[in-house]
Amino acid sequence: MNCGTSSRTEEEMEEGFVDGEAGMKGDGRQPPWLSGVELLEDAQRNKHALPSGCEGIDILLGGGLREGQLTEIVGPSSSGKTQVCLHSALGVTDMHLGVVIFLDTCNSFSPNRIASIVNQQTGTLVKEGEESRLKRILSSILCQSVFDIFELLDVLHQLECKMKHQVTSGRNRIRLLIIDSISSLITPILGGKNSQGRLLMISTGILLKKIANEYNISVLVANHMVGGEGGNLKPALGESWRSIPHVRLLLSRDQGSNICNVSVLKHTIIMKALLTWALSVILMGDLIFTSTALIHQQLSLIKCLMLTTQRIQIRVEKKDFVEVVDILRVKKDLRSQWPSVDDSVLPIAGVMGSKPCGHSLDIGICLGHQQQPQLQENKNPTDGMYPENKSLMQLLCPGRSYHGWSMIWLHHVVVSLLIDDDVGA
Amino acid sequence: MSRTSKARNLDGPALKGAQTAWDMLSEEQMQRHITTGCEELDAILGGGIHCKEVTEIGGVPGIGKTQLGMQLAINVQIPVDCGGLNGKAVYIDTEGSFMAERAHQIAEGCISDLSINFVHQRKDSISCPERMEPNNFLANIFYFRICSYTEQIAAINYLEKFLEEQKDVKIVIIDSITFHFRQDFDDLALRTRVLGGMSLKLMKCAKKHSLAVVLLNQVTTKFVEGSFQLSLALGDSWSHSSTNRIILYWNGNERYAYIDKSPSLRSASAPFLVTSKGIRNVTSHCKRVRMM
Repeated sequence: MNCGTSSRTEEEMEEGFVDGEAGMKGDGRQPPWLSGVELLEDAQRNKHALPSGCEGIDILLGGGLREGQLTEIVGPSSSGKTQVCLHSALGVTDMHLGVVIFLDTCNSFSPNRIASIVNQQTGTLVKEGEESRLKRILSSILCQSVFDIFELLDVLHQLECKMKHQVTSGRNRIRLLIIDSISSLITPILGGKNSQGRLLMISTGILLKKIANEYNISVLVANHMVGGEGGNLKPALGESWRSIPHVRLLLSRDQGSNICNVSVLKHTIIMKALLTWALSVILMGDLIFTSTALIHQQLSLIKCLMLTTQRIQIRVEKKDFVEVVDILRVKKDLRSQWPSVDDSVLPIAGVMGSKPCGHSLDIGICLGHQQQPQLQENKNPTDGMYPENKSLMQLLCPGRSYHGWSMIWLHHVVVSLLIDDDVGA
Repeated sequence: MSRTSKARNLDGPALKGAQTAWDMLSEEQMQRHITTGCEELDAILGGGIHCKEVTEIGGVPGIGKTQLGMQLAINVQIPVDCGGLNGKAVYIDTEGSFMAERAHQIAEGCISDLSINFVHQRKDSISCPERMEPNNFLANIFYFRICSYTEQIAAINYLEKFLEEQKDVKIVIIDSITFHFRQDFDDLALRTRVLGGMSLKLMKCAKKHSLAVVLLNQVTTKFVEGSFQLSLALGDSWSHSSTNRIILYWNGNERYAYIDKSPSLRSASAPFLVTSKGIRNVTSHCKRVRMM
């Protein structure tokens, strides 16, 4: 009967409308609509940045692994992805932040390795013994092996149920979820005649992001690289996966060296535009992480942060002047050359070179005024420096010579340089 | 689920199958490794080939991959008193390079070395002389001969069931994993999928049954940056399929092994020798020669 059905539909429509209103106010059946202010408050209150275990990566990411976001690390084989995962697990549990869940698909989770990293680091807390610190750290890392995409989805659903009812806070709260590596689960099902593999991949990605956002955890996944066009490597899992992670980091390592380069492929906050050059050298036990440069010819702004034993924060504005703030400790004999280092403005010409030195890095910084290029035939600007890193200086200020400038050598430093061309324009 | 168990579930562990890293640490430290016969190689490997992990060993033809595979198949059977695992081995042969006479020779060499090294420790062991016959060693190697890639896929699928029945198997050696996938595979995407699935199954077997999986791989040349370089076969996608990777290479006239990828070991090289008794250390062999 037409009248009956139409009236019923009208009722249903009314109900639906009420539901919608209730939905907007958040009646528990569906997530409420949030205003921008509420989102900002939520971001500031709940979505902290977790330490990634490596200072340089923290700087590169603008704080660390952000809660509520899916961070992906991509790299060819043996570039350090598993090491980054292990270090993040260590970083989060060391700071008493909570529990880390490690889902391992390639049997590469090694508690021995975490133990050796802990033993190499100098303990921050003097009160705690080595043994008890190691026990506390390792007890907060839960590891499970998954060998199937369906097992992974099962585990994620279990986690969701568990976190919905999670009332504990503090030590037992799940903070970080690491999957090493997701591409080995998805590669066997991706491609072929049916598109079910792609569907599973995208649903897994969406589920991970949903878990991250609703329960304020950070998710870190590792991805492989496969051969692309022209023999170049490209991240696995294809174009559909590219848009799923919030942040993508690219790792690479030269054959035989223990320096790993990290660069940002995609980030939500750090502006890339035409040029993003981040050089981070991080100490990671016996691995040193640096990030590669995507070189751009015109450098407008350089922000340079140097950490660990020599703390110098240097900002180079467009006029090539450096505001040197916050020098905490320079080598004592050099300090005499800079009378008032606290609030002086020291021009910096560039980083002259860097060389790994045991477990640290020696960096040469050229301080002085940017002069007109003087032809110095015999003066090799990198005389006495390490010639293999000459390109670093040439990247910063191509075609200039540095005659007459003072050099300081900073030893045992961690360096990070970020270039934005939008800021301060 | 009853209400009580549901209530218990809320406070229980976050995941059903998860272990804390602390428990895994003690397990990992108690885990025995499979010696390769060469002390220097064992030293850089942290004791030997790790169980519960997939190790890929690659090298040019003639460097000794099959010799190392056979040595591991014998060494896994060393009794626990002498520092071994007392396990059995599964040898999946795709190229037909397994020679039973050579395995017999290696077994004899292993037994003679064991009796030299351990005779002063266990004079009262009754079981040792019984077990230590080369034929017994050969009897504990389960050998599969594979002639095509479909057989290889089938064998690995069957491996799971086989390992349920034979609980003593502690090492699975596949020699070589790439042989049947290099020729007449037109659809490379299909090859990537199949290999990915195969590696996942091997990882699962390794973890579930606490055994070591050793994959022997061939090398191919790659044109990189204007020069030809040797790299392992099957490309970049396969390079992620193993937990550890060891490359065997020639350095002048000597054979060296280099750890290319490992989550817990440092990159290092060690020389080794292929002798009539099997894989041995370089220095000890020299010492023996000098004594004679």
